[in-house]
Amino acid sequence: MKTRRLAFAAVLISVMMVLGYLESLLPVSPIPGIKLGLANGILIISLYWLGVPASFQIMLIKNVLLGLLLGNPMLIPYSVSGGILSLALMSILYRRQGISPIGVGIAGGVTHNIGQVLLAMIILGTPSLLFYLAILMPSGAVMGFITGTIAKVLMRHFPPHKYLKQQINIQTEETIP
Amino acid sequence: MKRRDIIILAIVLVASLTLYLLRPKAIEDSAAAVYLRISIAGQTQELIPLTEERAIRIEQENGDYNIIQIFKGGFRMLESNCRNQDCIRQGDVTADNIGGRALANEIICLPHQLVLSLVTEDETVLELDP
Repeated sequence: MKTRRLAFAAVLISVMMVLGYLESLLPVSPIPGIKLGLANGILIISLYWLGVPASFQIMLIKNVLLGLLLGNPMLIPYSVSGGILSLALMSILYRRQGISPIGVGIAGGVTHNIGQVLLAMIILGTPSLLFYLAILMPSGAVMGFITGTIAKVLMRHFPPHKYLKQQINIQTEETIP
Repeated sequence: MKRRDIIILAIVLVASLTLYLLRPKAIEDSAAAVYLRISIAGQTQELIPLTEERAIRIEQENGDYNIIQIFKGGFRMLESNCRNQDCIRQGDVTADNIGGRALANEIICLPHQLVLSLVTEDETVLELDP
């Protein structure tokens, strides 16, 4: 059972890495900090299917690997601080009544930007960066709406039991001789 | 979208609008002399009057460097050996265009922890109160 989960987590990380690579090929936005963040859609799926602790591990591994391979290692702390804050809020929200993956995506996209800006305010000593969030938060909401919708559609068409639960059951049956 | 999704969206929009309305718009006294403040990792390094055209090279111990073009009333980032080159794309900063810039009076080179700010002599261009 653990092997299945581990393999599935590894698949999700690979998908996130590929999406991160594809995004790095897009033209850079003239406003720093605005990003599509497609990988966040996969992280939302991971949250619903693999739970909170596994998702934190996936987020950390993805951010560090992608930062080392494609980005700037100096900027890893920013993506990690955004990732931690965003995943923390998404973890609180995702099981609540009346919230769909779209709302989770919006909250996650916005808090990702907040986490990054807060760290920059501390490291650079520039409290005025707070106002930059007036631009980044709506953009994070739009991107979060897109990634949340993608996660929702994917989860509807690829229900987890097909790929996880059923296989987990088969696996556990096999281990009982 | 469900009901609470819309509540989340509304909270975000209200917070953004509030910050937008409170943002610093311009230098109050348009006749005031403007300066370029250079800071690295939160420490102010230099305060340079923006009176004449010249380029300044800032080199850090680890080999990071930036070249800033200064002109009368403003400045821009000319060159940087960072990987993402975001600072170059942030364009000119002048006393007049602060209100229309995403980063208001600043150019930031995040990988080099370098912040360039347009300030008046007493460094009170930006106050948290409107």
